[in-house]
Amino acid sequence: MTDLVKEIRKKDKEAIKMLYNHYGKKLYGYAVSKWNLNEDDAWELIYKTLYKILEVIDKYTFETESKFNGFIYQVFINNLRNDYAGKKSRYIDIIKLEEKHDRELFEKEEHTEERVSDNPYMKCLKKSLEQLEDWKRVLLLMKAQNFSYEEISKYVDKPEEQLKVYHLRAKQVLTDKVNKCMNNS
Amino acid sequence: MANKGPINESELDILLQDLHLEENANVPNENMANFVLELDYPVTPDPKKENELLTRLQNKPGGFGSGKFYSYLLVIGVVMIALFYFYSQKGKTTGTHSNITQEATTSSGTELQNNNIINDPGNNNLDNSTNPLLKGVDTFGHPKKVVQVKTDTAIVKIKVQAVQKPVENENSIPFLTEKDRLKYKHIKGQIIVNLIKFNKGLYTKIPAYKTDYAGKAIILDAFTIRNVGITNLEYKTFLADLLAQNRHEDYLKCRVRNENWTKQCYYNLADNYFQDAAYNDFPVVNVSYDAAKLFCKWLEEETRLYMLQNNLKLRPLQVRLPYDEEWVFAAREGYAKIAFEKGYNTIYDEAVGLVNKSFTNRVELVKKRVERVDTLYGLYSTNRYGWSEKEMTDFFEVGLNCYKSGPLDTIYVERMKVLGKIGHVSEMIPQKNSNRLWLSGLSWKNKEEYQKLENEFKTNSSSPFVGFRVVIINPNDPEYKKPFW
Repeated sequence: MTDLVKEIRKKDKEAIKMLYNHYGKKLYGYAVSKWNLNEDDAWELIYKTLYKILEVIDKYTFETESKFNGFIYQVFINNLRNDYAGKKSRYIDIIKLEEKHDRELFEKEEHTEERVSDNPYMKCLKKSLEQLEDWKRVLLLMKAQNFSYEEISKYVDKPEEQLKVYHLRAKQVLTDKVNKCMNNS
Repeated sequence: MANKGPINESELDILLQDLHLEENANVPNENMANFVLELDYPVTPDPKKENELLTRLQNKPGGFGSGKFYSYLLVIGVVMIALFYFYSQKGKTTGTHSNITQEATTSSGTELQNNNIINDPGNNNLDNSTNPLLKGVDTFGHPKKVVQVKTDTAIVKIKVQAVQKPVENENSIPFLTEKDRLKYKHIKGQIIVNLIKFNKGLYTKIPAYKTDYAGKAIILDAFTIRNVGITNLEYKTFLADLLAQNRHEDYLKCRVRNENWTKQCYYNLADNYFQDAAYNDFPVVNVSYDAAKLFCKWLEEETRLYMLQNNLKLRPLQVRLPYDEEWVFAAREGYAKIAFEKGYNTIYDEAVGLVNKSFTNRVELVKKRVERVDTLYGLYSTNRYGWSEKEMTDFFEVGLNCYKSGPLDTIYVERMKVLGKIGHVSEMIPQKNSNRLWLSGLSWKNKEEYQKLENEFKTNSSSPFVGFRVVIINPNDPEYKKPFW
């Protein structure tokens, strides 16, 4: 068990402040700059995430700080997906996408989660991504979140220039593959 | 299905964002988490909003700040630990060495959870916690053991996590969770695609060649050899696929004999080497010759199916273990950078004894070239046979530290190339048209060590110092035709 987790488990004023300073600030920055959430939504998301952490932290042990980080990130993503997908500007785009291509499907499936996983476009996307090397897959996923090439370069350990060149080409290829897959389905 | 129109690139980004959310909501992604939490963002939170947030958290109904909840759990925790200590002293447990980490339940219904496996942090995506069949079960024969202690007044169930000190049952079949099934299906796809594409990081093509073997001139047909041994992750994928196909007998035949580590007093490696994802790209060891052959057969069959399903008009590839003459040739000529060091790259041959003259000359040249560009090369050329566990884990740690970031459960070629060589072991190399099996390559440095290793391997049908790599015969490549001389 890490010292940080031990401290946070106390759940007193200092512990809550420590949790926010270690994680809340960063996640707020991530939510605003990478997921384009507006300030109010981002604060609400951080509140829900930290609240959940404090609520369940006693049920888990974390051998390393890295595991605890993974846990916090997963809670954050769960909240982002469940509560905020509908409020983000991208959601409007999703509706447009669904309406444009499959209004019937959209009307039938009301729950965001179900809609996403059943989305035939998503199925085609997964199939197409499976054929890519892992770093290429990661590049496409991270670039879609507004990570810069410089940032992605640190994660996948590839030169920035190579990422730029590959991404420009890969996005077009992937779009074509998804469209081709949709035509064949 | 309704008519679907094409999407454009910005719509693709939306789909990719959704995919990221979906994937990361289901499985903890430590690497991405660490990465996200280390980055600096050009956003300054409003101090007023910060204070509001902290006040809200401190004043929540029930009060996190009150410490009541914590105290309550602490008291129950102390009681449960005392109970467990009492029962274990009475010798009524099953004798497992495992630490209590998972759950303790009394018949009165009091329940404590002290889980070190992150299952459902958000609230909703957990297979194991919701499905009673999966509860307490871990894939690959490492069930979280449930110890039931009956007393006059109560039944105490203590669930202990097997990852610490597994008491493995040779005949136990693990339950493959849906999450794992999907994960390994994805990895299987990666393995096959890399194979079909003959990814140069993992495979080296060797043209047909006239060469000497055991003092005789022979002609080798063209073949493609793996640059590193089959890894733990690839072998896990194989085992998962056997389970997914309900091939339970094959699974039992192929299971990894982690107990071999224990027999040689490597207790931590027994617990971690195959199970811990950090070692995913190290060579799989403790598998039998039959298991290695079955792996080749599986890979060949799955590749053939993939080609059929994807309408790839290619002739099926053949996958098998390398023959001795192929392995010797590849090592001698410096193909695939098969590791070498003084004796260890020496081939022990019944006819000629230790062969280590012209053989090493060629590879020394290769070594010098590689060293110029590869600072880790020194780690590749080390004989670990006979090392203590600490020496070995410290050594592995150097390699692991080079790849702290990046997802673990995936085929990551660059990492496989490095960790596969750092964790190098001897390999099962059959002799063509013979039943003889050689243990070639690293981990032994002289004849005596080789014979000791061979005896251990024969006794246990597997060894912590023996793995395998594969050879592929590709009938689609024009170069791969038999030479005419």
